[in-house]
Amino acid sequence: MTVLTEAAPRGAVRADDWSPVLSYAMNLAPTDHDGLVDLATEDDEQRAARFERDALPYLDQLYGAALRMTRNPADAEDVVQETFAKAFSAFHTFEPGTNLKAWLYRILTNTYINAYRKKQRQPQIAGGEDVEDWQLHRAEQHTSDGLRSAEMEALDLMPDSAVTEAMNALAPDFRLAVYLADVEGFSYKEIAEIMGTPIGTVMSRLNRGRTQLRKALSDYARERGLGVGGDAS
Amino acid sequence: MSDPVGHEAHDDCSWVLERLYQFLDGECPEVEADDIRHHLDACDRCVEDADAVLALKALVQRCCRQSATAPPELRLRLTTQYSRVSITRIEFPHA
Repeated sequence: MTVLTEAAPRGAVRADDWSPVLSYAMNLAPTDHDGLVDLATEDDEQRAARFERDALPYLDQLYGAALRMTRNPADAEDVVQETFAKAFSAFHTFEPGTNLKAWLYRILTNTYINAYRKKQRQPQIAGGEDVEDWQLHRAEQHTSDGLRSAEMEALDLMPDSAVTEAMNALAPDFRLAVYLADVEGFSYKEIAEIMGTPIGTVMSRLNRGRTQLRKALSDYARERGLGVGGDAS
Repeated sequence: MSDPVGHEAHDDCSWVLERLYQFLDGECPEVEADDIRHHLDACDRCVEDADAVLALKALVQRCCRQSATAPPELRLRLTTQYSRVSITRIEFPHA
């Protein structure tokens, strides 16, 4: 049974079944590479080639994101490996011409979330959505400690390790939202799709995550006297 | 009692700060964005906050973007796995 699809004209054999798919495929926006993909007649080998060409180039980015999420190279590798396995087996459901990067990130995020929820590796997620509103509230008032100009200067002097540490101290959902917005440059709508939440939740996670981050970095700067004076004790 | 949709109603700091992240992410509805710009023109304290938020965004981007290269073994494993899939079985739909 080494028959390839040319010998099995699916469209001709079951035109009634396939035609809606065909007409749907014809209306898709062109992909970056080669225009229309006819999903109905694409065989496994063609799909694998398309996967290799379109999805594999995201490897470094996905690995970087996985590393940020898991904070551990071995776990990041596992998450990426599983992500590609899932993406490959579901690739026929991806609509060519739509946002492949966001689609892959969604699989990555789900894989990561399932993994960490299962293993409960990160006890600090307990803080998650339930963080008291004082932190959000704080963002809506001018800081009263007169440190804003110092804050700017402190941010310039901030070592990468302090930022990474502050990011890692955020609840995973907050960290992920901030990462997807500020590092990956996804829109709120895309983040909502990736995280499987309403846009309002994305906004709330971003607000809280950034506010906590800002506070953590200000504290860091103040403790070490970064920025102007460090005189607000 | 000012009209809640007028400029004057939005001309206070807490209203602006509440939407500052959204505004700086380019995710504010244009009507609100106009009000925020209007406010920022006149309010130094909010401009300072906006600057701090932008600096924070840039900092996070700078620090978290680095060194995202997948390990060579992982790359090799994935490319060999998915670059050439040999067909071991053919299924005809509803055959």
